[in-house]
Amino acid sequence: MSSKPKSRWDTETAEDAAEAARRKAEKEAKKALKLEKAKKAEEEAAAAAARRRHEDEERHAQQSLAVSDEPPSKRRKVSAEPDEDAAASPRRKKRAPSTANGERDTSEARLLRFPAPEIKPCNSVDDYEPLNRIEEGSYGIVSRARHIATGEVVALKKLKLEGETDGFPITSLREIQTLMAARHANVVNLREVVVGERLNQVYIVMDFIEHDLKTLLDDMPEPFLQSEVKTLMIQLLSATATMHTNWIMHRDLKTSNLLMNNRGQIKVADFGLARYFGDPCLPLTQLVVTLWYRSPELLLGAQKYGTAIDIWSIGCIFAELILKEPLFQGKSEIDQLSKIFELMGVPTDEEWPGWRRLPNSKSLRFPRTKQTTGHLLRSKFPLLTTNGVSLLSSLLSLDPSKRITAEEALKHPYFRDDPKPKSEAMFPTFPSKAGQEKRRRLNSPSAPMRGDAPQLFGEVGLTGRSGLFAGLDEEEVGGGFSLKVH
Amino acid sequence: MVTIFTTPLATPAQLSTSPSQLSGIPDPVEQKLRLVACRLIQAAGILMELPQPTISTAILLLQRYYLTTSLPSSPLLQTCLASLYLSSKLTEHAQKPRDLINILKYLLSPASPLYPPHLLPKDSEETTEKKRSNKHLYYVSEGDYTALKSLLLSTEAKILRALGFNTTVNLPYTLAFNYLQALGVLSHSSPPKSPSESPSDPLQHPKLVSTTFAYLTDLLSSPSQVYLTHHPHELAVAGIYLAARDHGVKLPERWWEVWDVERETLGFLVVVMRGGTYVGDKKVWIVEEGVWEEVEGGEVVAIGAESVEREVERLRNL
Ligand SMILES: Nc1ncnc2c1ncn2[C@@H]1O[C@H](COP(=O)(O)OP(=O)(O)OP(=O)(O)O)[C@@H](O)[C@H]1O
Ligand SMILES: [Mg+2]
Repeated sequence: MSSKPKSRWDTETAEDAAEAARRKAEKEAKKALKLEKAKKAEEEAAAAAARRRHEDEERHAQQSLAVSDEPPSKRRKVSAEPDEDAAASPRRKKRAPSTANGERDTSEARLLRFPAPEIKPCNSVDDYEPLNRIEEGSYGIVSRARHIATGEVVALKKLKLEGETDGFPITSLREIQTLMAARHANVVNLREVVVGERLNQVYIVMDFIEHDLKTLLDDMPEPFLQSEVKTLMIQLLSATATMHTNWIMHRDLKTSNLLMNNRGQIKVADFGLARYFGDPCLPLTQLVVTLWYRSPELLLGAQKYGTAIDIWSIGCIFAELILKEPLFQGKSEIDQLSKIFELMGVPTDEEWPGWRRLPNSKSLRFPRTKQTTGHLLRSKFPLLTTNGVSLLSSLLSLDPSKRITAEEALKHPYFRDDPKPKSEAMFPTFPSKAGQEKRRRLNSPSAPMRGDAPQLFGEVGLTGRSGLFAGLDEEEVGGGFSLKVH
Repeated sequence: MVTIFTTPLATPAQLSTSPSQLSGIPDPVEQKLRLVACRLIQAAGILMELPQPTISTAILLLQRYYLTTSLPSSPLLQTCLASLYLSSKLTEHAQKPRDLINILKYLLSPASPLYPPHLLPKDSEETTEKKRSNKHLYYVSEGDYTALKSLLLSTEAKILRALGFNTTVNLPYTLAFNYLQALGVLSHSSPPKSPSESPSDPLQHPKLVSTTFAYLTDLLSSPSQVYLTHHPHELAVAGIYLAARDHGVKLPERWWEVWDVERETLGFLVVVMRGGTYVGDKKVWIVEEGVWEEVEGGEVVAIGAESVEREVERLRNL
């Protein structure tokens, strides 16, 4: 080539060829985008309808304000093409002119006309009348309350802000941010954040949900039916899929953080450990997820982990829905790992390449024998169908990179087998414990404490081997299966 | 995919009368203070090597905050500090109050490049450079630090309350990048087999991204505050439109419709983007307390509460 490179727009012939290719690519991109957008809009519409009582007309006006302030002469400048696209013109004419509230008559334009959230100050907690305490968790106190203006019963979670010296804690910022962003029919609805007079009085207002799944499972005389388990799993997986596509990891999925109403719906709650994740992922704290629901890579001290940790927890929840009790009830991190390997087998290097290089693997000695997992899982869940066992083992894949994703799991044949998922309306109702009194809570480990959660100035991870297996130099025995610690 | 629908937007009523105006601050004064806040936050962010999204988030939090809170009730310095502090947490680049305070105090000191040169001490023989490099010029005493830190923390709480704890900021940068990719105008997006088939000019197009981003960043300090009224995808499209025009890159006809941006909206944003900042090319010098004045080639803005009060008083008596 002797001449300097030319733009493809320089020669007619090049332009023609490029044009054709571009048009095709553009069409495809357009199609994909439209689909994506339509889906998004649908989700948004559902969420918006559910959470907004009255539409705010004012906000509709702002866009048209911007438009109508613009003199026509300036608009012309925008046109990249000197003559109007003939094909597009009639379509534009069909479009109703912008009205005062910005409504357009094409459905395409309507997609973007959802009122954006307002920028407005917090309401006062005095808008609510306290009814009763529900539960004191590790991060806050949850109460039932009545919204005085509407009479609606809500749940108020008071954030624990006492003793904060660095302002508003980053964990609480994440909790509010992620809960706001994770709008879904199966995520507890955040109504607003209200405040008291003192600067450390901050409350998250949520819809009140009658039960939590943990208490429910403890109190039910009979476990859920297979058809019910399927419905609950679909709900949990689709909520999780939405979180994950929005770059949110929950990091504390467990039955006590899953609320359930009397209409057969579960709602993921407690975003106290949730956070946004990036791509590529950065080192994050390993002290997340309540022990019994914690994935093997976290137990082994992986500093980089992803959404697969939530999927592991979902696997544990799936099993718990069937067994009516938690699947892996470890007494310590090492015991937890033993219980996991006991059921799922010790991974081979083929099954999970690189797992022996994880920080905590080095200090452990594992039995040589390779277990066959399918057999053990199957006998532990004799009533589960083949597809059910297959889904469970995909959720509980030891290698996080081989673990199924929430999207994929939703398409699993298990959900198409008989018995079919039960319709939400057919779910039985249960008496609400939270309605009258504190929820009874059987002994179970709680989420890692605030002090362990990500700190303000950079992530605090485990340095070396402190914490996890520290102080354990003898053999820890977990259910007839042992791991040696070195 | 960025969630573009959740960005909180200002209402026309909020934009037409601000709390600052209601408390007696004339619009031009408020606009200048807002511009100065952008400059300070941008400069501090760069010195601290914070990523642009962290800086942009801080600027937007501050702009939103002043939609519901007046300048007299929340003076500029503490608000800049708190916005940066909050955005650094929100974007997972948390900074220490101490570092933020040191940097902001430096930026307001005679050592700062933002400090008006004519106010530097005249008597000594030293060059301007030398004068500015004097460390004691920006030393923060323990008392000052403690006072500022407690203002920073209380302002952070006030910002969160004023925004109803909705700190969602969706910036247009990633969207703009994705759109450019989708438009196939970035180099290497599909390697050309022969020069005539070249889908893009690799020598020209890499600048498209940086020019687009530059437009988007400039727009943050525009007096029109379009970040408060427009969705990120609209801003992204407008940035691309101008960048493509600057570099003579031809895009498909009506390409913005793919992203559901109305031509009128695009037109409005393009005019705003070309309009530049309130002060145009004039230099703005910043001091903490002092006199607002026009000087050769620029003007001095004093951000301290008392100085602002004095300027408002002076304007009233004109
Ligand atoms: N919206 C709600 N409706 C009804 N009950 C709720 C609601 N939100 C929370 N609860 C109850 O309060 C308990 C604690 O709430 P949450 O898990 O959000 O707080 P936490 O302090 O993070 O708790 P923990 O550390 O125990 O997980 C829940 O397990 C549930 O029983
Ligand atoms: Mg909880």
